[in-house]
Amino acid sequence: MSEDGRTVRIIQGNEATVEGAIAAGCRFFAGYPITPASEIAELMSRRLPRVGGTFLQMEDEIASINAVIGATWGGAKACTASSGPGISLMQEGVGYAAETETPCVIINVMRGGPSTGQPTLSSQQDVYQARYGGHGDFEIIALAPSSAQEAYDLTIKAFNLAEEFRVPVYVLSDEIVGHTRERVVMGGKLEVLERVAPSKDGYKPFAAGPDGLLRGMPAFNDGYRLLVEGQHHDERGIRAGDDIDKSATLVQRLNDKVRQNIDRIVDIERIDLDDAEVAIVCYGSTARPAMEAVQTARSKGIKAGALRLRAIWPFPDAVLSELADHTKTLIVPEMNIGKLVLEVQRTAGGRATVVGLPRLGGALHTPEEIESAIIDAVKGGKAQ
Amino acid sequence: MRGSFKVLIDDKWCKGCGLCLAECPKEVLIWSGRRNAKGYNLPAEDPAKACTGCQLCELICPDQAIRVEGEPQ
Amino acid sequence: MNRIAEQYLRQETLPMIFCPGCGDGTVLGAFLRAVDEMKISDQLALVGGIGCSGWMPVYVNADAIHTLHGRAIPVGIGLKVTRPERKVVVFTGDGDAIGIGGNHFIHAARRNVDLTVVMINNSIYGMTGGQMAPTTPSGATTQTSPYGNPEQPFDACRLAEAAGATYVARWTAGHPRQLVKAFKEAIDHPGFAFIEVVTQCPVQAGRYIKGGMDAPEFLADIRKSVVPVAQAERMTPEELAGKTRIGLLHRSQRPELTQQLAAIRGGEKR
Repeated sequence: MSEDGRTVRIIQGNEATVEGAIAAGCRFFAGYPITPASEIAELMSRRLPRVGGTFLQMEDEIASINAVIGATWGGAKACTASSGPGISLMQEGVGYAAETETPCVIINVMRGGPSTGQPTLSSQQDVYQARYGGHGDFEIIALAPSSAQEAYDLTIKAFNLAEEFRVPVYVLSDEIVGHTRERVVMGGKLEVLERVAPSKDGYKPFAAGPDGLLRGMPAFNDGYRLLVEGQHHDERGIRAGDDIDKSATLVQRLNDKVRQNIDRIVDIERIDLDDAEVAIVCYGSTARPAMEAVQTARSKGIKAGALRLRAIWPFPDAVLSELADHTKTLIVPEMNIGKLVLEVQRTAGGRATVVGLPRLGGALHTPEEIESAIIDAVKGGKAQ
Repeated sequence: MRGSFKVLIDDKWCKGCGLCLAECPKEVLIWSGRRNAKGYNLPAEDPAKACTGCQLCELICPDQAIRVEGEPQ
Repeated sequence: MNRIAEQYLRQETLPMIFCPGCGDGTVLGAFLRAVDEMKISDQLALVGGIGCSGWMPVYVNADAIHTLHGRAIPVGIGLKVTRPERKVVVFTGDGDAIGIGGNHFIHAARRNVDLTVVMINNSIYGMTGGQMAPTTPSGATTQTSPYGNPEQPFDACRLAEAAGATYVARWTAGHPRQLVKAFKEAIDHPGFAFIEVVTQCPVQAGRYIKGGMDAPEFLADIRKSVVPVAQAERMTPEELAGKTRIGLLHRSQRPELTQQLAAIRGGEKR
């Protein structure tokens, strides 16, 4: 440990996620074993009791997300972790957390699907599931780490955003990030949003401020006499599912509170974009070969750059729109059939050529593949 | 139980299910012929019968619309 | 409104959605009397599932959460383990607890986690309009068994005991005084406590299964079908055919989950 309280370790992304969660104040974890996320549950079972927390291995992922919801109203910061099939099972619970504005964190160490698919290989196929997996209209927040270090940093950030916005927040890790051992700097001065108990004076648990956000987070058995309702409800939490105006108001706010505060969520990294003619738009583990491809292209005199999205939901429309104004071609490498590329196309609005670089099968793009797409774009060759 | 007891029916909450009539061991409760604002038939105490204060009607009432008042002697 | 209801109901949520003559309100009244006698309303954490019974906590002026269909028990576990001194009471129905939520039910009993689970058994899916439930008697007609139920029902109490519950009781909506006592015992019991309450559902089960019985007729029919455990012990299998045992069916002691977790936290298990 250094003088400023920081430690440096070589650990897996999955371990870094656990350390990030605990540093962020997570004191409850409920989960079910699944490859490639199991190390998170394993390490949580070892670490949580030592910090006064609770680990539970549930009977399935449905129980896991619902126990997380119970623990959150019980007063603990809580999370669960899984992969494709398990995350699918959790979807109803995620929607419940959104409806009841229950802050919680869901870590998805993505693997290939559909179905049992590819348990031991990586993918980014669940990016739309995170955003659209549940029924009904609601917004969530999703962060996508590219390294073990970011698995640590973004997990802390995920807990902070969950508390600030009172939403479920996904950490969209993947098998490559989860299982790669890297140098991770931990501890030191961390920004951690502590839970604040709201004043009981005239308290309405679901009355939002002007920005659409609820203030603080109460807990059961602290004198609030809370009513948490999964049906549409009014500011007191009382059922209003048959009230057209109150129902519309609630659903609008559940969406607006994320959309209209997007400036507080956008998290991007710009690499060599100032004079770039070609930009790689990337996130998660595909950012790793993308960075190398940009460097190589630059060394050959090609004006290439990259925009790396650390927060992918809500999608940073304004950032992409601005990039499309200044760049000829946007290349989107993804380990899926081509998903976020559709968002890039939408926001580019025809002002830049958008090239998808989808990859299925579980292997990461090589830097050469991405570099060759850059060269094609510059030549105006295969780019469309 | 001996004493003077009174069965108070809260018109607002009664749903006219008739469980109290069936439950009363002394058949103290009868249909009053009155309806509440929602149209439910309301029970009432039969003036000819004496409530013993057993509170079974109060306990069985699903809508908590019955209050048995009085003092055991 | 009686004194108990005035004191413990969340007035702004009334009236209760229950149909006229539904047993749920009677069971809730008995629960409130137990809470009053135990003076524990501040310590209560109430959890409701989906279905008619899931609404019961909503009307109580205590911390309450109305969860997803089948998921009340895991939510209750999350509440319990984060502060073991709170009294978590889960209100669920037969469909909620042993249909869609059956897996959570048996595993919570296996863990012997200190919850009180109150399962209202109306032998039908009431809120959705009278469909077959995992408790619907064989041969009974419902909206989804028009030719008679081809399946056999669960005995929820035997299921709970087999899975490891350490307090198991069954009563009916016609036993409010016994229910008050059972609630007090179950809440005080250090482990997974299960109370099944057989209730009349005049609007759905009364119409589809019982050929149009009203609430008093339905409740009388239930009373005829049950036998206290002590009496059942003296009866022959022939006499017991078609009868349901009521009373305290099982009570035992074994390690409780939150105590085990505390021991791990305290280092006793390392």
